[in-house]
Amino acid sequence: MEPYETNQLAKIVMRCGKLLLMSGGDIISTQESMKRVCLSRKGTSKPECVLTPTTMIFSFKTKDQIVTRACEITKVSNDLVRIARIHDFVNHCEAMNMEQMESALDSIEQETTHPRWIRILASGFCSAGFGLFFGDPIDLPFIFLIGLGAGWILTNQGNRILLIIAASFFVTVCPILLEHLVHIQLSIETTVVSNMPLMVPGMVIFNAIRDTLAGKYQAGLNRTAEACLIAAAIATGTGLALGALVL
Amino acid sequence: MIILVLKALGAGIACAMCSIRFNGRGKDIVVAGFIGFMAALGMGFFEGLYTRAFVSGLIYSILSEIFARIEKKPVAVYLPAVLVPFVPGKLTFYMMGEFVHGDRLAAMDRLSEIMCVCGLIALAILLTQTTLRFLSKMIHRPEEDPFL
Repeated sequence: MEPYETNQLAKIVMRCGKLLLMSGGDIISTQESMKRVCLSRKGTSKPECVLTPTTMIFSFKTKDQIVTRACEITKVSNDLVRIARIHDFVNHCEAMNMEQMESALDSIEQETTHPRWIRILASGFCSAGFGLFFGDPIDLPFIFLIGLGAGWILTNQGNRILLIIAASFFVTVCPILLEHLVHIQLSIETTVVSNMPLMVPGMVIFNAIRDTLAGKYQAGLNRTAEACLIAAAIATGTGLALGALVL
Repeated sequence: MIILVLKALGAGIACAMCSIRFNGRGKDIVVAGFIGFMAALGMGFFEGLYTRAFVSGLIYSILSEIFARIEKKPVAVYLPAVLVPFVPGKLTFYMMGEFVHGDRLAAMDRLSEIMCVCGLIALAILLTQTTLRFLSKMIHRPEEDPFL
């Protein structure tokens, strides 16, 4: 393998891993994907991968050198489409040349997310679905509207924890104010609880379980700490709203 | 039964919408909704907080694995979106209420309940994934002795 090819391959492997981790992928899948992409080229051997949710170090051996790359993960989001497309890319990378691999990664990177208004609307319908699930079909319009508000808060740019505290404060305080100030008869409990799951970190919990199960305890603990922090943020927002109303 | 189906429908809608919020597309959204519907329907036939949590966990993790294999997609496309409705939000709300009103004993009791439910959900997912991994190893590498 020529030196420029080695560099190109290292770049592709790192991009693949980085995209997967940034889209909310778990450590073990990312590790396997990177090794698989690396070994898809002839002349490469002994791929070694050290991953945490925020750091990537990858090394592999060619005929006359050992190539090592490191990278930092700065932003993590939830993107199921990217995860599915990277999975597809990894499964078909053996049939591709380097240029095709790069253009496939470019296309995955350029994958757009749903527009903000769709995500806000989905939050509203999601809350309404929870309202139905928790057995409160009468209050669905209010649950839907509060869900829209929470969706709007959560889709803003800013510190994630602060946004979650603000959203959980909003979903707790709204039904109480509606009942006490506007005198609308609401089941406060169900209305609040129906909007709570919008803030639940599903992807983080899933990754924590999966990484721990795969023996990646460091990453598993990291994700568990993140999930606990988010849960504490939800509880803080709710507690603040309830405490303010008690006072 | 109608109420049960209605509740399951609600869970299905919630799961599908969660999938959209996680940037899911097309068929993935429908599948997530279907898995949520089936899990909520299945757990409706059981009594008790812990049993229901465990049964729902088993149903959605098994269905997610099945659909991931049918659609040739990673299980991460379905499971995170389906997981959300089944986490104990109601208990968290009660716990915070009890903390705010100064009833710490009741709040700690509620916290232990929450931890148990979360543990059972994790156990269900863990059991499913371990069993499937073991089975797929046996199917793909029959020449290897699984006990060695």
